[in-house]
Amino acid sequence: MFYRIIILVGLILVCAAGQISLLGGLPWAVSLLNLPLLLLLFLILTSENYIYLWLAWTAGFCLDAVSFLPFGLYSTTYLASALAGQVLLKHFFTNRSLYTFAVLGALTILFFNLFFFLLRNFISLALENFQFFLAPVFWLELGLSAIVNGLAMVVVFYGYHFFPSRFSAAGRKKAIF
Amino acid sequence: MLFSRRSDEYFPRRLLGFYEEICFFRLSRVFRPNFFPGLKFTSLLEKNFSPMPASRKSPIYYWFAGAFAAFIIFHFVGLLAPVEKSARVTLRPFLKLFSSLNGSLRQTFSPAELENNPTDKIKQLEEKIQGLIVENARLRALEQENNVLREHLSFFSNRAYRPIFANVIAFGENFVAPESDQIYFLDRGAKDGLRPGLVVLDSRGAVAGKILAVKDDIARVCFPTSPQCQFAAAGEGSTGTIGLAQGQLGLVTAVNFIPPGVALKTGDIIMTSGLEPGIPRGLVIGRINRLTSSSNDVWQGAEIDPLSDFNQLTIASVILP
Repeated sequence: MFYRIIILVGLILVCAAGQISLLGGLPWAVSLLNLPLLLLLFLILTSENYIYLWLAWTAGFCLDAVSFLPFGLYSTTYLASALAGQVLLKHFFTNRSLYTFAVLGALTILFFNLFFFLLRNFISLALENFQFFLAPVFWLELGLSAIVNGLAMVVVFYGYHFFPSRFSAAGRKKAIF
Repeated sequence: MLFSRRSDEYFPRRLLGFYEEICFFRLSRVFRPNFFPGLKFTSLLEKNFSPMPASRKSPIYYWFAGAFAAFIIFHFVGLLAPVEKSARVTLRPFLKLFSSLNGSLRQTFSPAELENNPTDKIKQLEEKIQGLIVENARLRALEQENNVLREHLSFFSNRAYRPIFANVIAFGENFVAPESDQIYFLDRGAKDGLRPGLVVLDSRGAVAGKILAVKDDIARVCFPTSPQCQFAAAGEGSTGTIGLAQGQLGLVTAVNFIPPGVALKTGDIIMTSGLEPGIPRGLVIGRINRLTSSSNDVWQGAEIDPLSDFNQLTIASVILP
């Protein structure tokens, strides 16, 4: 079992390295191949265990480590695509024929690309529009605001309990709201 | 009475049954408990009416999701940095191997090679001419600099630039086409002194890009034809900056905002002006292919062909200030 895992990890590393260095810049449709995903799909189609999840994570991590895109983008996309491939195989295909291999490959790649672009654009949009979340001043002011308002409620509490007036008495007799 | 007492009672129940049947038929196929193995999907209908058995709980997905969330958090905290570095170190031999294979494949399948006619000799001669152009431009820049130095005797400048050689380990960013076509990666990074904004040269000394971002041991570089790549440009005879050279559509580099008084013609060499910090003057960017200004334009423009060949870039040097 161990040697099989080691071979698979080595294979996924080679696929990830090939994806990074070998396919980029090549002409025709060669650069559109997705080697790690093809290996993952092969594993999904031929084995029943969950090792494909760990391998998807490994492949994504390798690409994340080298890439300058937001960290986790490749890992998340590979994991989601592997899960999507598994779900498609389990619920929409009955056998492991040639057509299953071809259609599953096409659908999963489609899912991969859509998910990747959506996630990437969502992250860049979020980073553009929610920069204030990353600023320490924002969190400082948020915390300060919470403390100030909490203290104000303490003042309201003592005012409510110790201020001898009709307002206080009315409040004790029945609920304010 | 339209309905008898019995049918009046029976009718809504029967309708409800029909509705349930439709819902179960449709929804149970989509939300059946083991649709995602190990995850339990329970719709309201299933919770109340479904005769299906409850799914077997498989905690592997929960553990996996937790570990993945921790993995992302650890990266942003910085705890994952050694693991990332070791991953890059592990991948480096593969990346170098595949990159050299990629280079030979791209040369094999480049349009000139595919034509397979006596263009080889012309290509070699063109390369020689380009080398001579670079050399000539460098000498002219040196001569000009020498003249300026002679004019300003009191001025003394000792600009010693240190080149760092790096391997190109990848071309293009995965799945981010087409804007990443003119991006490549070097196997040197911040720990070698590289930083964004430094210029990258090819083996002949022509400008082959500018560093956009760096990690510890890797750098992301744009080729001069990339829209992300900008240089302060100067002409052969000019002493200062004449415009801004920026890539267009991954095909050519355009020099914009050239003042009307600057005389340019097709075939002129465009080089770096030295205005940007860390980029010395006199590094050849390319040769003017076409002038794009019209009589009404306030500024002149020019399209230049970079002298560096993107397809033959395997080793590059970065000029450190």
